[in-house]
Amino acid sequence: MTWNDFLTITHIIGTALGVGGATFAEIFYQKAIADGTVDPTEGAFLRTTYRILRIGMILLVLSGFGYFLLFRLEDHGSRLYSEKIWAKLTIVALILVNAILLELRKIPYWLGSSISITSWYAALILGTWGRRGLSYFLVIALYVAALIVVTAGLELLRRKQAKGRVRTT
Amino acid sequence: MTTTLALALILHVLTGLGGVIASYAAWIGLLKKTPRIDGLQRWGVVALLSYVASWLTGGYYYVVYYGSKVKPVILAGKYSWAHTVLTEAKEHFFLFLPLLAAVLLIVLITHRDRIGTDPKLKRPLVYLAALATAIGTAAAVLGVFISGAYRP
Repeated sequence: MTWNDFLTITHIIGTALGVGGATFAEIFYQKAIADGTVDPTEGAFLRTTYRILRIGMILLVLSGFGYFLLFRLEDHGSRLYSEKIWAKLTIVALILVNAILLELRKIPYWLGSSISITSWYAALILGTWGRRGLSYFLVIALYVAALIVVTAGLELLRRKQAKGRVRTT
Repeated sequence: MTTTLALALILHVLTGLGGVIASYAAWIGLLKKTPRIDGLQRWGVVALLSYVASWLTGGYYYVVYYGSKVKPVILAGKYSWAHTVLTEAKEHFFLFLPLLAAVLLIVLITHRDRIGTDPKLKRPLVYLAALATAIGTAAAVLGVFISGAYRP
């Protein structure tokens, strides 16, 4: 196995854990607040999911820098100036900043969870895009559009769930 | 590049990242209503050791290899600003990291009983950990830019 294979596997595992973690964090959260409160078991599930998310993030960042080292050591410096890589780095930075803002409660949950899910899926899609060229601004514009769609979709789901809760009480 | 230099570069990047992750963890830990001081101290130790290791390996790589082999290539290429602006900036603010990490750890050890109860102590510590994380992250991002500018 080459270093490139090792990094690719680690990068994919990190992304899978992050995407899965972000998805299930939202599903578990919606299920947990369906009755208006988060009980201890639901809280434990959420904490475990957030831990998995963090592990995914660490693997993604470490393997990402592993690629950077590999490109540097193999004198493929030009690949570090790929606009797609910088778009992905921007999105990963957004995931980190968003996590801090959520921890500080400086961002509403509806927006924080939308940013988390959209960013993780965007990182996954960019990772599978291969070396086909993409401009930085196109990726960011598509990301913003996706964020609006995801936010609206999740908000609709929440409203539907809240309506159902009112009917059952 | 010799194996020793490649190893120095790899260690510089990995320990630097370790330092950023540790100061980020300390920052997030300090933001909690009741911070777990033992855990914070462990992150403080990891941050300090990582930044010192990154400092030493980065310094070795810079003195032995970068200055004579990499810098002239970058300066002769079309991204000369990567050295004249980015490396010049990085080599100055990166010096703060071990010192910030040392201050954070010393306060976490000497004032451990007051951190959870005294907001006047906790708030500056939060800013300190945030500053170390921000500087570490900036150093990492600049490192990618600088390496990308090297086109032998």
